[in-house]
Amino acid sequence: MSMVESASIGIPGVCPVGPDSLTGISRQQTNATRWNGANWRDFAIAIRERGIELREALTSTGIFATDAGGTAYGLAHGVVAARSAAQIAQLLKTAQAHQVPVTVRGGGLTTEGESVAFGGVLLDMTGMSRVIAIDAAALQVRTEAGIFWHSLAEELRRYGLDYLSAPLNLTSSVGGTLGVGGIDVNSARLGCSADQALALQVVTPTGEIVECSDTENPQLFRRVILGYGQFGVITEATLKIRPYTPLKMHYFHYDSLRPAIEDLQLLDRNDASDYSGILTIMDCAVNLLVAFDSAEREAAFKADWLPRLRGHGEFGFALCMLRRYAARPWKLAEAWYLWQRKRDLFPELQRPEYMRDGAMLDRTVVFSRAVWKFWGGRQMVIPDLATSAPKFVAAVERGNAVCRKYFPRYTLYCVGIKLRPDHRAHYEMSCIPADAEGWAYGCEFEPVVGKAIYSRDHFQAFKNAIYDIGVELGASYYRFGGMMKGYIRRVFGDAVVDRQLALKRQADPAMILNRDVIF
Amino acid sequence: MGLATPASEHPTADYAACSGCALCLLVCPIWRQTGDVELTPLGCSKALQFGAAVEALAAAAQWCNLCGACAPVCPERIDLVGLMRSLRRQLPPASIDSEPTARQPLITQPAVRQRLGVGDLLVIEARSYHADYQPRVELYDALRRETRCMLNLDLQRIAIPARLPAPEGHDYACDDLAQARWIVLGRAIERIVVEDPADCSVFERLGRWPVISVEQLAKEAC
Repeated sequence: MSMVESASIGIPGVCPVGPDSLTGISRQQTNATRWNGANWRDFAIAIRERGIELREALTSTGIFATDAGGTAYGLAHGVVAARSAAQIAQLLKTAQAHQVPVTVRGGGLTTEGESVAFGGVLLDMTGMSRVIAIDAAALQVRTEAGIFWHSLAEELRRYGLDYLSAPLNLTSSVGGTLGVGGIDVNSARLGCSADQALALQVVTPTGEIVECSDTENPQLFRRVILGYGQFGVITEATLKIRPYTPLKMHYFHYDSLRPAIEDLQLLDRNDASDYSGILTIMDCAVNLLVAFDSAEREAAFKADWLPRLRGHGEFGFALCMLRRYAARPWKLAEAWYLWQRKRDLFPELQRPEYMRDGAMLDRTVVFSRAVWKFWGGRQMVIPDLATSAPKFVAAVERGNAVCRKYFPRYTLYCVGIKLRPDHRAHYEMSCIPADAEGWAYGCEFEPVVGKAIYSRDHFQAFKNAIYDIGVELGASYYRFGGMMKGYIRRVFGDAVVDRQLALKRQADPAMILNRDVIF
Repeated sequence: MGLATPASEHPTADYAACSGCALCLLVCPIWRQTGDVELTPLGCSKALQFGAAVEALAAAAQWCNLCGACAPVCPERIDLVGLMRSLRRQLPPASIDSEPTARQPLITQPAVRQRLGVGDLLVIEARSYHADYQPRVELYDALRRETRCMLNLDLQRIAIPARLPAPEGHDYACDDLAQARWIVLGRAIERIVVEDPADCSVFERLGRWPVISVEQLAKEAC
């Protein structure tokens, strides 16, 4: 019987789920720690008896065979589209009973295979994408957690409202983001996306539907926020929102990393801007972006802080580059690349349909489209380092040296994250490093792969070299699950990991929910 | 005004280039109503990458209304409309849909523009708009600035179609009324003006605002 035939009638054959398998080619599962397909048939029967639609055809499972990273491939035995908390509760109860793993997927924007199912059920949360209620007076929204931030913004904007902070990627889901952090260019002021959650409805790994917040079931709330999906499936979320404002963007150009990072931290410490971040073309064109929600804030910045910045405007930076490459004619190819990249990228950030009276209307649309157009592709690796403020310059400079060694072209993206002292308990074993006070800083190191072909080994060696810096500096990472989970004990230490693991075992006796992602 | 999309914006790649970014999912009206990825160009592209047979994509081909919203947002410039058309041609009952009209929209006539104003929601005909995306984005953006009317555009400047197909034999309750409600949600509307006269009946069913077609506006102008 072929794999397609066996899948369509729910009979487990050879588990076609090796993380290193080639697309479309089934192979014997060789990783003994991975689930081997046991109990699938009984589980499939049980789940259907409960009225849950389970899709097993390759057309259904194949859609989710990889994530945004495109380097981890795996197949679920079946896909369930999320429809309600009650349905998910039934699914998890049944999965516990049959010891079948359930991998939860939102936008699938992981890069290390965290949202790829290596067998078992893939729960597609995008089926729960409804905005439930908007309270404009209290500035709160209640939404189903499978919703993409962009879809949420679409609805909020009809009422002149906006979310606080969300990843600069249109197809990140709310639930997925709350589980891992979520960084925006206003995170240095408003914190990470996870910190804007006021309350959650969670389905625990054993199938209970529980409401939680800082005051109601606070222990569960603490574990689920930044919990990497280990302690429950977020089905609904109440989030803080705010009145919508277009933003005025300014770019300052630097020809090296250190002064740009120091200026970024200066602005953040002094609350000098509403948005701040660094986006580079390699380490030669370092762009500090600074933006404002109001003319008053912009005017205050111009009066108090602009004179202190060491960045250049367009003309000054062009002169800087001329001097640099006139003295280094053997680097003309690099200069040509910088010029081309800037010529193509910057107009994209200022397309007239997204600008009005010099203000950017939809920052996430603008940046997300640019990100996918200029950095996207079938394979993306984005290792990162998250450190305390004092360690950040060293982390970026060392990571930059690794980028230079492994790839001819790359980008760095740096932002600060304001920490909430009352949420310190949420931050244990998360992207927020334990020694961060006031702000944490993160840098993503993204090679521009383009049409070049690199082996998985090359990508992995690059990621390891970046992550080794994190171990040495005592940092953390945005992405420490999936293929990078080998670093978890090295960076967090056995005591923390064992404590979290004990909690996980207590909450998820059969270890079915997002197994292999962290533990 | 030239109504030709620059060559650099034309879709050139096929489904194999799909990176799964899902930007097309956000604008797909079928996904918005059903929440079912399998019924979308994204689902088809990923399934084909993974070796799915064309026959397995019959439902997606039936559901797609060829509104073309997916094509302009694709960063890989995949010809998603061409993909869906190709599926429809290959699958029974084979159907070849007419190409969207390339003629100048009536709102380019000054007399029609003069009759639009604050409080008007202009419902753009989605297929023609997306088939000639960039010039029309500029055209309608200028119209909005000039007349201060509202448009059925989302945050990515994609036109939300007013009507959806509802193939028989499927579970989903995909209905035009829900689509119309989504278009008008939260807007301070006094009148609805539709480019496609067939959209009139959908908005009339809402029963809250007068509905008129651009054609009628043009006749009034004469």
